[in-house]
Amino acid sequence: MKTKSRFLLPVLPALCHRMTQGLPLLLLCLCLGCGADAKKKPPALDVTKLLPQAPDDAEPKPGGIFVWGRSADATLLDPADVTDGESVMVVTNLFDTLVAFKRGSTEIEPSLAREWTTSDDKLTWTFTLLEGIKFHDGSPLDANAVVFSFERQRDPAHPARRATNAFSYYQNNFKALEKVEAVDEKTVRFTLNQPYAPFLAALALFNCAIVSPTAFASEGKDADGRYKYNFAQKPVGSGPFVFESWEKDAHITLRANKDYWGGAPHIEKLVFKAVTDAQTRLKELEAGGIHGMENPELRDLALIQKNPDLRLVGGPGINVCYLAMHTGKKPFDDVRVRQAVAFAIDKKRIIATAYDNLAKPAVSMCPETMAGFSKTLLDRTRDPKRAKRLLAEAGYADGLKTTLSYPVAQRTYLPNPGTTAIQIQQDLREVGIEVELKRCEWSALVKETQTGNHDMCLMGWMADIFDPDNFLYVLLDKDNAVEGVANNLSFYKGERVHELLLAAQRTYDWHRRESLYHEAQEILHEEVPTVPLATVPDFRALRKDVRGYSIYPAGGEFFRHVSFAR
Amino acid sequence: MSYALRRILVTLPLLLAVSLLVFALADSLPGDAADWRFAKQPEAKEAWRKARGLDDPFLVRWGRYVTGFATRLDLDRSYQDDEPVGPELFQKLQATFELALCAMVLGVLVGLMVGILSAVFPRTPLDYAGNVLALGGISVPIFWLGMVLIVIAVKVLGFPFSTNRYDPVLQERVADFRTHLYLLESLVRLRLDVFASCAKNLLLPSLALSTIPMAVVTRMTRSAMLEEMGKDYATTARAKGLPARRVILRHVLRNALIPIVTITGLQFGQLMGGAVLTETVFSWPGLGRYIVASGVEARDTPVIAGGILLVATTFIVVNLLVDLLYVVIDPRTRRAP
Repeated sequence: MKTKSRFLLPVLPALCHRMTQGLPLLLLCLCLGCGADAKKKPPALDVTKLLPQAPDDAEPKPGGIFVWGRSADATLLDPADVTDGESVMVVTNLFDTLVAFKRGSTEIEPSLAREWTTSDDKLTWTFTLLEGIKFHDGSPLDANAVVFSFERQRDPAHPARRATNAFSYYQNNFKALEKVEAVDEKTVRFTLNQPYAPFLAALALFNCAIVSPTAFASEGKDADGRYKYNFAQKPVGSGPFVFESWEKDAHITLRANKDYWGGAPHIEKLVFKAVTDAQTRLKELEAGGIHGMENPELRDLALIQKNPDLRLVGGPGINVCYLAMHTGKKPFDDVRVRQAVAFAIDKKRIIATAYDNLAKPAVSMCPETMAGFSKTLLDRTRDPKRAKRLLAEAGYADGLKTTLSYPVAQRTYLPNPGTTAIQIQQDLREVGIEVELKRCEWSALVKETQTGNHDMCLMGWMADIFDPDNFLYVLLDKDNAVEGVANNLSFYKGERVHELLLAAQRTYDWHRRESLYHEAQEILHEEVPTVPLATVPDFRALRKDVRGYSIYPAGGEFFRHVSFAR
Repeated sequence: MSYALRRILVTLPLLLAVSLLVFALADSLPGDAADWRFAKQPEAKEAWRKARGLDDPFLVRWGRYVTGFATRLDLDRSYQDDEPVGPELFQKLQATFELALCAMVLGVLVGLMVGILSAVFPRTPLDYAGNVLALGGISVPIFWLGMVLIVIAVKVLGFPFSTNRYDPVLQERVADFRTHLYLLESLVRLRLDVFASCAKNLLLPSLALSTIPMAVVTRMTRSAMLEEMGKDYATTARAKGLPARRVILRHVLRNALIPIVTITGLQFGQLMGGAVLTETVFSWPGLGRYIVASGVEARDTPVIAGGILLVATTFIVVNLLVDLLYVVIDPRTRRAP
């Protein structure tokens, strides 16, 4: 004892001394950390001032290096094989598709295909290509290149296909495509095995980009008869920008294609720079290191709008965040329990706390911003008494226990996953449902939910193809409820909905399709396999001197019209 | 020499053990890279797994990895795109090395200076200020400090903050560089525009990262110096009339350097692997961020294993160099044990 105290005693004053030294520092940290927030309320976002584009100059100034800041680097640049948004926004500037979205719109316009005709049964589509188009490597873009670009995605033995190529977008969206053939040098014929209404919209998807067969063949073949050329690292297309260099995790540089058939871009170079942290990204934008950025944090939007050097652009997002309940498992196999959950959740409060009031409550799994949304649907208002009554009817008068899986990382449609999950937990606790929260890393969550190992999960979806089919069929049809590869995470297998969605796929008359989708949405509203929560608008922040930028609602970024102010 | 050789030989089983451990850890993470790539195509996934030999028992895969590395210096190919991960990892290692080196130089210079001043003038405001710096460096989290530094630099000083290693305008000027040590190579090639751009971009991250070694070196220098200053030889030197500066810098500092050098070596190793937060805040394309973002999040075992092996190797090499440095600093260690 004695030795111990002899050792401790001289140390004690020193310890106290140390602590008092640390105190001012700690206080300083606390002041710096909270001071700004505590003193004044942040300004509110003025939604009326939001536009989905930066203004155009009558005569855009040529030249300049435009740097775009995004949250991660691309993974690969083979347009047929990309799946992540960061890779997509690069390939959309390198390649052309047969048809494309009008600038800043979801409307389809001719691109490489000058015009097209369809047979009466809508099974044969014939496209006439523009003449004299060349790839960046100088080789001609003709009907054979179009066939090559589609065949490599369809045929597993194609030489321009590697073992790692998954081509998931082709697999998901072109099941109806039977064959693609070149009629002559500038005519291509697509044959479908069944009518498929979203076909034209699907052709505007990035995976339908036309790639250069000459580039693929330039380095010969390996022992398996596959092309050696690594297209995913050195892409060659015909788009407004030409691939120049890629430093992984740092930046990708493209240079303007001066001979672009649609008119050369105004800027000289386009740089995609990965800046992981949203705060750092914003500071770099303020300092002028980057000229535009994606995904500013919701709480920074008002500050961006007030900053005289910056411009906030925003448009309605085409996405939905939802709560899925596994309908194949107890207790969610009972529709009354699912309805009770829907009645218990307070969407308004979730949007206030987890979305800074910037999202819109979602009524249907087909977002309000998408054609085909059923405007007659009335959203449930929160009614805990009714929820309790429904639970009692289903035999759960004493309450029940379940789990909710949700992602750790933010998603565009889920900016605060933790807050959202806790709000749901609180709402459900009030009606007697005890929810255990399961916080999962993204890849683990995807695996768990696709195999159906969850009870409830928080998920979301963003439009690939601008068509209601892309939401309703993909997320709620029984075809997509196969364990292990499911997109239908509630594993809802309603027959009537299945019939309606298939019929809508095979009908070309929009009014007829619309009424089919409306009926499906009404059934889904009653059956509640999922509770749609919110639709989040798209936001980008730009430097004030950036001109000609537009948000493309259907996804991707297109920088051909961008220039700097004179 | 035999000492150095023995040290190097000892590291081999160590690296082997590290690779086994990392391989096992990466393997036990939930989900795998194939789930990502082949989300909707079970057959393609199976074919790919077969082609890459992923269905083999764990030890077989590990053995293949180790032999591949031992015979061909091959760190395997990525599970995401089947490209070799070695070159990528080596490039990132150089980015982290440059960052860690600058942080270290900054940290050690300031740390030594403050530490010496603290020891020479104990219990004075100068000493207290040094203590606050040291304590702050240890306790302030880097992500916070990094953010504050950025805010001050951009908002107050109007510093042209940019995250990359060099300005995109200079791309053609670095196209012929042999290494990815842009700062050092631009200096060697006397390309001052590139050097200025690199130095500017390196300033904030290395400043933030330097607080860790700065704090540790300050504390270590202060205590080692105080201890040595109390010893008889220091008193004798003063008594025989040597000026105080000479006693402190020539005699006391030299003796105090041994623990400082040791801690510096350890710190450098830690910075190499522990710069993840700095790299994330400043979007520095370094190894730490690469291992987390491209490795762990995508379940890419070769990236994780190769990355950690590189970090471990650097750590071991730096510590070996430190041990060899002792001989230079302290003549007593030159005698064979």
